[in-house]
Amino acid sequence: MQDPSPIDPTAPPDDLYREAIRRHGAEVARFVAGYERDEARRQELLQDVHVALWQSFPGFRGQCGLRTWVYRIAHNVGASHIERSRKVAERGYLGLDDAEAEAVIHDGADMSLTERRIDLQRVFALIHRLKAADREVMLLYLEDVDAAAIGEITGLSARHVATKVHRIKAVLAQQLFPREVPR
Amino acid sequence: MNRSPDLPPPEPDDGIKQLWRNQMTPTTEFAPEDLRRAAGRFQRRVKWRNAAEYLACVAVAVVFALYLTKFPFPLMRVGSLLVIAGTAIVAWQLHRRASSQPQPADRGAQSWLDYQRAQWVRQRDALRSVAFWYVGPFVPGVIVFRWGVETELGAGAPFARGLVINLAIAAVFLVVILFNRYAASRLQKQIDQLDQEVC
Repeated sequence: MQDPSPIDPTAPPDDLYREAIRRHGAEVARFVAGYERDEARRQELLQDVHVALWQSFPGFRGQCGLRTWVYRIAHNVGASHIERSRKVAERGYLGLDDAEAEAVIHDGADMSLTERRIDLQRVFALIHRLKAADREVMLLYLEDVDAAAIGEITGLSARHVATKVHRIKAVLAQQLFPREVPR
Repeated sequence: MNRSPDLPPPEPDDGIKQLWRNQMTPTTEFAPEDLRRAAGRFQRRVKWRNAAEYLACVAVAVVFALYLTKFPFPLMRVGSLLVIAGTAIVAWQLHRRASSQPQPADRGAQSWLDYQRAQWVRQRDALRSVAFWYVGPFVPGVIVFRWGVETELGAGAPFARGLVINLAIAAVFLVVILFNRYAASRLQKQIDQLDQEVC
């Protein structure tokens, strides 16, 4: 999941934007889906992220890799979006500890490989309830970003990233294989 | 997918990551012209919001400019001038604080933790210092104006009436300060929680 090749930061901003979307547009769309479940508002958020990206490139001097730049902007805009969603915020977001406790409550039947869509819905349901920092790490983990890069993108220490990733694995295992978790 | 209960929970890694990345997520690319329009709409919204605050300042200044022409009493006129000056200071502070908003490039240069922390610190400092930049500039003018009202315009009016009005004005100022300090303390808690994430 590394950037395929270095990018010329002196290229025109519109070209940098196009290249960023060509390389990372799909991840951006998935991150946005992780930050907003409502379809109409998701489209608005997607446009907000694209606007923020497009506006950012005049300030891009190669301070970090293109992927890090794009991911940071997507998550910063996404996190600001959930900050503004007061009604949802009132419901409260879960930390990974709470999510772990909640996951074991599910009394789901064994999942077959043909029921992976349900797995995905469960993962989305979990993501949409996580606090911003945990949500960001979860989304990056699902994108198969390594721990060092997660630290660079999020600003979390290596120790925190390792702890969070460990918990994420446990939560996902409980979400997807609920019967196999001791109660 | 029946597994022995003796086995540890399966690692969800590869399967779920693959499932996640194989979602139907068409890559959307917006034309620069559309992005320019969307950015313009956003900037117009911000300008209108700022304009509403400046309009409130203009309204206060206009009212006290009318007092300046209507009342011939020196203390009230000096008080009116001081209130107008205080309003100008508040308007300048609003403009200064609005223009210190993070730039689009900051979002890429900073991690979410740094970006969010900087936002909250900026908001906390603004709320904490409301007494100095939002309430404070009005205080000298209001004191002198009220002094003029009590000694020049309404000389001979009951002392208690003036006292009640003065206390009511002070209470309004105090409530504004306390409310903002409470909001600042809530932001401080959020900042502390955020700091725990990186320590």
